[in-house]
Amino acid sequence: MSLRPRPTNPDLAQRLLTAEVCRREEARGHPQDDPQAEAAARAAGGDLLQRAHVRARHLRGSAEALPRLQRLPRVACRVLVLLCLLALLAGVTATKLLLGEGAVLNLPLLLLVLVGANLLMLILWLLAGLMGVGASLLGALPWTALAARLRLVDRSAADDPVRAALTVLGGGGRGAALAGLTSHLCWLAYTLGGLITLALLMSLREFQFTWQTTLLAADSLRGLASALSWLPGLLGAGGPDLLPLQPPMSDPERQAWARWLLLAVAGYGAAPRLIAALACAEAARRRLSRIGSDAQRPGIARLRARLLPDHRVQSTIIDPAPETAGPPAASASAAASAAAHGDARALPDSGVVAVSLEWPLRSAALGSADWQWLDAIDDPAQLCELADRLPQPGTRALVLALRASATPDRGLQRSIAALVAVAPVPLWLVLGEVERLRARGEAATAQRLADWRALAAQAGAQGVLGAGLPVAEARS
Amino acid sequence: MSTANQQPAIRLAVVGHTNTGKTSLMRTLTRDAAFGEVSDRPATTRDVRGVDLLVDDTALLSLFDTPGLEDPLGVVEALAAQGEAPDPVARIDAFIAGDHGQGRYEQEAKVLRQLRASDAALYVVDVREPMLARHHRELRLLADCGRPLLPVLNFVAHEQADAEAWRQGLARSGLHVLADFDTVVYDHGAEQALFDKLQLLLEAHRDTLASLAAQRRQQRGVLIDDACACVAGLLVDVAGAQQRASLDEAIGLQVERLQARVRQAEQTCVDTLLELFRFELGAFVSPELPLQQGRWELDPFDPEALRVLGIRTGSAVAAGAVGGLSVDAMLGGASLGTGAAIGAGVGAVVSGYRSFGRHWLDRVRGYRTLVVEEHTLALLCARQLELLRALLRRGHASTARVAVGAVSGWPGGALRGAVMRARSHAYASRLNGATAPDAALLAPVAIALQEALDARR
Repeated sequence: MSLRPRPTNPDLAQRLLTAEVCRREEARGHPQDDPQAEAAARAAGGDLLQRAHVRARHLRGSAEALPRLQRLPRVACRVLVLLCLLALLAGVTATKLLLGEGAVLNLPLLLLVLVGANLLMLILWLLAGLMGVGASLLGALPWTALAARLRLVDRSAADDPVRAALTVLGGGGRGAALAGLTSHLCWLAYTLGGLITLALLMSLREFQFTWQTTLLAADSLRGLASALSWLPGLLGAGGPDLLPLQPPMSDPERQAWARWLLLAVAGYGAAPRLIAALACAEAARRRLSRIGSDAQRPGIARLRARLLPDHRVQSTIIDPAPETAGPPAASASAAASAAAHGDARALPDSGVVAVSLEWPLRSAALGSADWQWLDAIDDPAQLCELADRLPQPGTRALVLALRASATPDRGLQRSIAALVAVAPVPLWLVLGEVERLRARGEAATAQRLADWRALAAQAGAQGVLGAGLPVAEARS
Repeated sequence: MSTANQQPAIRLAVVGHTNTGKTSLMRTLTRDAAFGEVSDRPATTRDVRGVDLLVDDTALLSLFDTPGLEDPLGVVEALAAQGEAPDPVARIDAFIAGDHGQGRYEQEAKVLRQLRASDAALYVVDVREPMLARHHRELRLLADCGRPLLPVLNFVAHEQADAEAWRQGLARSGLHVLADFDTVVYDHGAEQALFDKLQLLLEAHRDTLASLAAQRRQQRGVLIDDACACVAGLLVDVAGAQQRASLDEAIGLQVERLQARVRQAEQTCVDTLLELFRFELGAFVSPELPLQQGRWELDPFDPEALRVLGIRTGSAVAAGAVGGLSVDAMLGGASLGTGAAIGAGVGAVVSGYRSFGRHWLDRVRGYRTLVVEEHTLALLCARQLELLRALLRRGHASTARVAVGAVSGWPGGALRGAVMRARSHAYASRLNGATAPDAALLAPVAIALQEALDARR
């Protein structure tokens, strides 16, 4: 059973913090190095995003930023509630003023005040949304200004996290969705305030209703009333077909017009705003949920190796290296010494016996020496045989041909040293297949030749020949 | 993962002659370019170090890097000098417990000790070199440890490689199951084959190895997705990048400023890619972009811009007309459709202003807007695609810088279409101040990049 805490779903403030850390690190070009935060993220477990959230929370500076970001939604909610209350009060006041002290009520005027401006603004909002103007008009700027007014933003700090969070909240259509939600809720509150006041006052007082007009003819007025009665009619209210447009009206007719008025305000004023508010709330919810949740963003993706490691180097070295460790040193003196003897002209003109080690190689020509090739040797028994065959009359030097690309290791050094020990004449090393070595690059070639020279010096050989000379190959 | 919770990690020793690429194999299998020390010299590694391969934070496989076997013939002689033993394994154990030829074969003893402590070994060979008698003796020595051996043919992609000769030679030593795996030129398929072959050798750990291989496949997919998203982000940013500058200022200076921003964005993208692939920063340096001065100004008659204008205007006219129609309806038709007509007109004007009005207004006010020309975008796109291909084929043992050959033109029509679409959406470019890439613009570019990668893989 794992003792690791189960990763929790991050709240908006946490995701805003992660998004801001991601943006900052992307702008800087590299992630912030904070081993403690990374260790905490790894210990927390979960997928990359969950670990990125934990890391962001544990980064230096996050301890102060996170509470401020957590305050942001709370303050936003309070401001929204306050705005809605103000709108509600405005609706109540407007309706109260319109209804007065029990006079004759002009129904078109009442509708215009309670629903007309509301609908017109709704249409403008829809237009702005459809043309894509809203997103640019309602970006981060209004929110930042409001936050500055509420002293949520630290104006003196260039990288204030709340300012950055507001920029994130305003981007990607989120600003427009949040502004839409605020606007719709306010208008809804205004309309509901009016509707409640209407219902209350019409319950307590007696009003007369009229469709007064100067400009419109009677037929046009009836047409307008019929058109406006479409929605209240659907909800069960009578219209101009059943009710008179002008006083005198009977009590049931007044009550029917009062019902009509309430349903018209609810249908044309409250319902569209409620629908629009729900749509904006859903859009805002979806867009807010995307904040800090894109694991493919470079700022998060490049944390994968740090937070979600797929390997771990064991801290304990099982078999430590001896203190004298290291490849054979190609010392400058050894190299210089070998270079002094590295010319093929240093070989005697005759009596040179050549043998190749491990791999059948034959040098076609090396200087003007008279060569006598023996076989290739690749095991200790052959080495002993060679030692027995070497004391031939006239032998003045022994040449050992090796592949230049072979690695000059301890095994080869031991074999060469053994040969030097048993050979009655000086031993030279000659490197073949230099082209194969050269194909690996100049630096690799120079290093390898230096290593061969060092090995020759340490094994007691006279030097290294043929390095850099074209050496022909013949496999026996 | 139940398998991982129930069983200890598989222990795998990485052995071989000196300088054959054992540490390189460790680097490539762990994707860790900083592991150990790699050089073309003998005895670079002198100690035994372990690395755990993790799945869900649980170690499933432990790899142990060992020093190279430099003198197997000497060890064979030392073993012979020990005298009789009941079996080869007991003889090896006695050698490990002894003084290792008075300390001469300390390195070889470390290898044998680790192999005895492991479940199996990867025997790394450098196929650029011929198979020699000492290799046969080395294999016999390792076989005496009583652990399964899987030969890994390193440097198979090198022009000097003679893998066939090694296959024949290893077969003569009784090793018929072997894996081709170049530590410098990475091949994902070869790595999967390596895990498949290990399953043959370690029957009891088949499930663990299968889950490890599956995790590697999944990681590869995620890596490609992330890398394509990163390059797509760069292309969307650069395509939409705009620079507003005064007409009084020399255009050369303004172009230079825009060039500098584009180069900075490209370098950030390259750094991110290198970190995603876990290569050292500096493994690739972008060459200069050949920019053609004077062709960077925004072209109002750019076909893509005109296409976007057409779509935008159509939508805005329709939206305006609907809005106006609503006003007409509110007035009971008394306005005789004037609202719809005015709404459509307003929509067209707003759309036109949003697309080009601002630029024309700027022009009147004495400003010009610079954008990156298509030729440069095509080059950037082709170069990033080549870089992706190179990184996907680069092993973590490679010490050479990433090289990208000469490229020119768009890598494909789909990619061009997706990138050019972003050109008319300046708001989405982080070079213009956007906080995050626009997913709607980024996704088609990332998909087109993946298709272009798949086409050549």
